[in-house]
Amino acid sequence: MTRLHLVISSVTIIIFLAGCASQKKNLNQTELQGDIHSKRGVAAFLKNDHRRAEDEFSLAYSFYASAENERGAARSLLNLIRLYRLSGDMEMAVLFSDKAYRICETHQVMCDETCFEKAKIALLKGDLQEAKRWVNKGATDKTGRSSARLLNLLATIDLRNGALKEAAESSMAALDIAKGDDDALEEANALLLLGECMMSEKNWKAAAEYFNQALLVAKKAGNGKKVHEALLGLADSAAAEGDQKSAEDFRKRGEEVAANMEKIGNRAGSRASPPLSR
Amino acid sequence: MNQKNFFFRNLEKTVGIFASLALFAIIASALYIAWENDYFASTYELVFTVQKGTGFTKGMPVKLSGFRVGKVNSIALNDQAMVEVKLQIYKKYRKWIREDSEARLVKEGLIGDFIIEITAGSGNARTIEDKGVIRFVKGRGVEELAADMAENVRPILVEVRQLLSYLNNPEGDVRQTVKNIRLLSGNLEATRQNADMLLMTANAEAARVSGKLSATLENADSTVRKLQPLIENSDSSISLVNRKLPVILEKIDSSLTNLEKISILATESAEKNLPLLPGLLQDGGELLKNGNDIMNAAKGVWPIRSYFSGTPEGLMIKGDSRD
Repeated sequence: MTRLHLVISSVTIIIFLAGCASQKKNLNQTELQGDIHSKRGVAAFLKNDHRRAEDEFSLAYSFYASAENERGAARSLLNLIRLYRLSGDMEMAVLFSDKAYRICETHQVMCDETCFEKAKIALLKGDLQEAKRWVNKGATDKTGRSSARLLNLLATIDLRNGALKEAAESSMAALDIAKGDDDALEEANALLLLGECMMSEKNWKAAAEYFNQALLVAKKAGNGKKVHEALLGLADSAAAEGDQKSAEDFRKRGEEVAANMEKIGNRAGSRASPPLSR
Repeated sequence: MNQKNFFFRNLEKTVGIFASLALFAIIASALYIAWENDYFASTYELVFTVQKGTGFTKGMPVKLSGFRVGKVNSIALNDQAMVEVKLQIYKKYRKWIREDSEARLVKEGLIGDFIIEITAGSGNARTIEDKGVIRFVKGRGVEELAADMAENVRPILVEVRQLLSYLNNPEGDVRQTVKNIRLLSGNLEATRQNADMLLMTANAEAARVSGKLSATLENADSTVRKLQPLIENSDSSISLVNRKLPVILEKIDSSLTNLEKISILATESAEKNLPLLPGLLQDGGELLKNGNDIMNAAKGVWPIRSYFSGTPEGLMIKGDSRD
């Protein structure tokens, strides 16, 4: 055994022992119940059963909160916020986002996700400045894993503000991060945003290229909603270029994808889910 | 002159003959009338007393079993203000009028005159003597009959009146029913017209369907014709199967015998090995659990846990910057 081998072995053993010293905390029975209800809630949400999802997430929050598991509680609140936001119940979404942000402020958990939801709510309300403020706040959370998503959201805000250059830059940065994180969803989103930026700059060919890439990524990920958006983008770019036949073909394909998503109850294919009655 | 003398010479004789004939005719007529009025019949008298003399008239006939046997001779009030009626009866009918006979005032037919009817007495009763009293039985007169009838009819009339008022009541069931029937009959005309139209449409449809049916039948006929060769082929196939089937059945039989042997062997093998299965399953379950625990522990160990950091899969709705 050479000296080099000895050094490498020693370093490896030291690093391994250091890692073992910080073992992951085991979840207790109450927290496991919270996990079970969270999973059921996500499954119900994907089946478009919002009523059941709401019940499950509420139960999950109760379990986590009873065991003072702040991460779990924040996660449950974020699930509820997304559920209400996508159902159009903004009042409840705001209420729970405030609650989630209090946990973020106190325990510094899930801050990037909370800020992302805050920004989405502000964007839906049309308050672009407030939305941008929350995105920037979310970007300061270095523990988070939603950089690509936040950057795409920032690009969306910039695009609405007409800041095409900034929007394209943010989308490009998001695209790089998403590729690195193997996040197909945000990769597709970044490509779609880039396509839209190109469309705004009347660069039809570049736009079509981005939409085409987005279509490929979305197809690979099996995300119907993104496939639909990419096809509509291709239709718009083809129409802008004067190729009406291709535009019509893309539009028909897009409509067919949307119709089939409706049939299988894919919530991503729904234009708007019905609000939850209180 | 001589001829004139002949007439005058017998004048007294001729007048005497005529006067005698006339007198004879008058006497004969008088006798005949007296005979007809029973002036020469031998009669005797019967008497009865009634409260009222209504209906009695002098000379009214007295009948027994429908035969006229006498007449009312007189009607007079007596000292008790009662009406005393005397009957003149021919003696030749006396043998039937006895002490248990009864006289009653009756009407001859429905619209005829009143008569006095006497009933024949029984054989063991004595005959009534001249000026003897016969028992009078008051018959039910028309007024009484009418009163009785009125008494009986009154409830019927009351009911009829009630029925009529019920029938005439505009809000009553009958008038309403009649009104409804009138309306219904009015509507029936429209219904009939609709039915006529329906029938006409049905006729047209039936004609159309009939045409289609004919075409269908023709198609079926041609199909049957086409099927004929197929059926013939089937016949030949069936005969082929009939020939081959016994051979196949023999082969199946031998295969089943082999299968039975295999089954016996499998049963024996299962009997030997099945008791070991629960233990094997339990061991497998424990092995899986241990494997799961090792995986969970490995996930929590650095640096492996860095690959499982973040939110566990399925606990959170995935965020989407463009949703």
